[in-house]
Amino acid sequence: MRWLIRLLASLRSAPGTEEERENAGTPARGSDMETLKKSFQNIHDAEILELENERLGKITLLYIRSLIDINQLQEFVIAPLQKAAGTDLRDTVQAAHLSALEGLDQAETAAFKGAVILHAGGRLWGISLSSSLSRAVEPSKQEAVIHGPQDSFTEQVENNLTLIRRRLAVSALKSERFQLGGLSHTTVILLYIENLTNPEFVRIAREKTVSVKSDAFFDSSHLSQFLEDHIHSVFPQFQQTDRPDAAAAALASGKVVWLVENTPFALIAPITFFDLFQSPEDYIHRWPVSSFLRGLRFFAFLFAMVLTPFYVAITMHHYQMVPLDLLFVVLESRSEIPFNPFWEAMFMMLVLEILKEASLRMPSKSGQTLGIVGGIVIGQAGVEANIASNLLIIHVAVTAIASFLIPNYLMTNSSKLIQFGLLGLAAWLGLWGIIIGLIMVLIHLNGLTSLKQPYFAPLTPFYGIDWKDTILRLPLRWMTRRPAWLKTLDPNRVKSGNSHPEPKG
Amino acid sequence: MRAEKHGAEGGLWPASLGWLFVNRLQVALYILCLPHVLLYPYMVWAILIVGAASHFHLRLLAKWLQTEEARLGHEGFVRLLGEKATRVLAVPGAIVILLESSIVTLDYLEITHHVLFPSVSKLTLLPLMWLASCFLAGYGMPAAGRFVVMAFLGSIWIVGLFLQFFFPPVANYRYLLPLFPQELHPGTPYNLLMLWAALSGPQYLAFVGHRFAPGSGMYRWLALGNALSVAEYILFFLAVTLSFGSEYMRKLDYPVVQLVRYIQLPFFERLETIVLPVHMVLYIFLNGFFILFVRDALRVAAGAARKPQRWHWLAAAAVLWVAFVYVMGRFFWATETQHLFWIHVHMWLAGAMYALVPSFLVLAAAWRKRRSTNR
Repeated sequence: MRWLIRLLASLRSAPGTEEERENAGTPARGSDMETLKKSFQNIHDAEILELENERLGKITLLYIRSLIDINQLQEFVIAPLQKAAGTDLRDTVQAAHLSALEGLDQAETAAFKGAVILHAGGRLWGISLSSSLSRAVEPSKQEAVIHGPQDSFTEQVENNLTLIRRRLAVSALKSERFQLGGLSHTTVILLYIENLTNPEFVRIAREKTVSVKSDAFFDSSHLSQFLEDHIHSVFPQFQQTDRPDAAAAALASGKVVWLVENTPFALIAPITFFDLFQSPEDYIHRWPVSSFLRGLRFFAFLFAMVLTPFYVAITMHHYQMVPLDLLFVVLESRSEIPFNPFWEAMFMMLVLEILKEASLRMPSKSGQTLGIVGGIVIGQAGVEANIASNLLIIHVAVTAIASFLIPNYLMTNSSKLIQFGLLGLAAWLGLWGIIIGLIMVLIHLNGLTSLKQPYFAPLTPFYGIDWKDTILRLPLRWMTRRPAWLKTLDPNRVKSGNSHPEPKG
Repeated sequence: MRAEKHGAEGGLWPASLGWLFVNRLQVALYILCLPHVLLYPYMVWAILIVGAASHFHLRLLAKWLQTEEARLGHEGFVRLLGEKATRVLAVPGAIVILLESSIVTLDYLEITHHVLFPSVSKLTLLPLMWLASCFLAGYGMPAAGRFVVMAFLGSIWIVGLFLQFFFPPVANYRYLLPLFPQELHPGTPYNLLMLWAALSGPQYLAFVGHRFAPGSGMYRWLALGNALSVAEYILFFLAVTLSFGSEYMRKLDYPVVQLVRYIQLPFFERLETIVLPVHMVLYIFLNGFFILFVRDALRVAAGAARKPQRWHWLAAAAVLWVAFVYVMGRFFWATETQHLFWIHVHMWLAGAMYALVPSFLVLAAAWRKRRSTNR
């Protein structure tokens, strides 16, 4: 009778049916474990532990000491196994992350992801006990806001998922897990909201993610470069954010989000050119203030690209455009300069870029010194040595400040490259050259796509209804519909939800 | 909203933006030089009369765009005219487009050379314009079609610059007299023809009807575009007339460009240096469009219209286009007489095409429908 009682007890306590238990994992041969042990040779922190359990028989544990939490291993795995608490491994080890493994490859990958591999009862099992090496959730440094949520993503992909799930507590938020990179086995999680996000986006995102072929991914930017539609474009086609609220807002509007392991940045697509000028703070300010600030950013982007080339065009080709009083100032400023305006501007812009790049690589305290040396000393000395005119220094400085207004770092760098192109065209053909350069940029933006969707929407193609939240940011209560260009399954934002107060007690 | 349904992917652009196409295609060609030709203040009535004629003519175009054949694109033309005739007609079609496109481009380059770069050959600027047009064409017809919004926004603001010339002391309202002439000057029929040619351009939409989403309201959008073009022509003509008067205008080469020179801002003067390059956005849009038309005409003529799209057709069209413009500019556009000759050619060609293409297509569609009903 004892065997019958034991059987009934195991049926009662174990999750899933008997059939599921039978199917849990492919039976492992003894030689499989030997192969696994061999592949862990010469890894100094790989440990193999063999335990003898009264009911389960011989159990082999294999793990990488530096990747797992030793205390948890002792408390939740070794101690229960020594006590021989249950008749089944699932009854004995009460770990939440116990899962059956399908084969040696999976076991090996799991071990290097921080799991303890168990060989018991002729099967391979994995228990995820990865040590939490993550830093704490801190305020975002890249997209800092004065008001609003102060948490940001970390390198732990599961923690990042938690931060998003806390904001979108619905079962419709679906997450699909992929492992990319033959060496890095980087976990990538694709997130979208079912019955809201256009299924076509999800299909394209899934297909693109599956088709990524590379041996190692260490950053979300690496992945984005494999997912982009136009690999030669200077414009970023994915938005990268380290703010969970921005990622959650993107999901809620019908976009797709990728979380990448070991990266504190989520990828968002499809995006438009205009999305890259938005800041989470736009939704905190009063709408007239937000609209003004957004307008200022667009103006600054154009200004940063065009101002120095414009100076070169005017001084090389179109003196007649400058009113006489102003012309005297220009001429006096340039009278002692031995170079033509193109080389003068090129030199100063290169110096500025060198300074910017150097200040990024240097420690923050040295960076301040560099700013003083670069900005004041070189600028002043340059003017006094007649290498650059006062007027050009002002142009270059204003350009540099204007470029910092663009919230997206990748977009800031894109504008730099365009600026140099326009500078060459300005020197060659004056304003005609600048304008044809800008037209080419517009043609390029008009033809770009992000996740196969038009990048320059809602301008081309034109979606009038989406202009409520593009350059202007109109009152939030007017934004009752999701962006039309996203072609969501549910275009309405406003639902007759339960906005009544919760009952007491 | 139609724009939302058809605006994004799938090679469609919104029908409600059809007015932008009509408007930009109509004003691109003659807006800078027409006042100089019309000259007399009473010609403002001529603009209105020809504008009204164009208005009614667009009804034919709208009617064609609603037919099944227009919606089918190349297959529709084959159904209408037969395979052989479609292939044969594609050749003169491509030549007409190349001719029109070359004249338009060289005319713009001539103005640029005259106003901005007198010491630089006009053909020096051609490679960059060609590159930009090819760049646009390279993204395909849907993207080139979408670019109409940029062409519109990039150039419409120029109209605002001319508003100041309607107010004294710059505006002299005596120059508007006589508004009703005792007798018409002998060049009036020529002016009417030129006006008709100026309002041409929408006929090209007849060949890309399948990319529209034609509905019953198509005509009103086309008519809106036409009305806007007429308003622009009147505004430019009146601004120039009020400022210069007919007598002085006769002596000016490009009175519209000359008038821009009088605008003064605190930081800049001589705004034609900006206005003229900005106007180029229309030409690039137009040329990108034309290169794609030539590509499709080549494919149809070679019997490859049903085969998958290959890049070499576009390359062939682009090379053909630049060769055509270069040869015409280099060898047949050297003197002012030749310049005038080509303007005449364009005027007749564009006028004839605008009159004939929609009429012919509507008649052919009606004839085919009647024949199939009788059977």
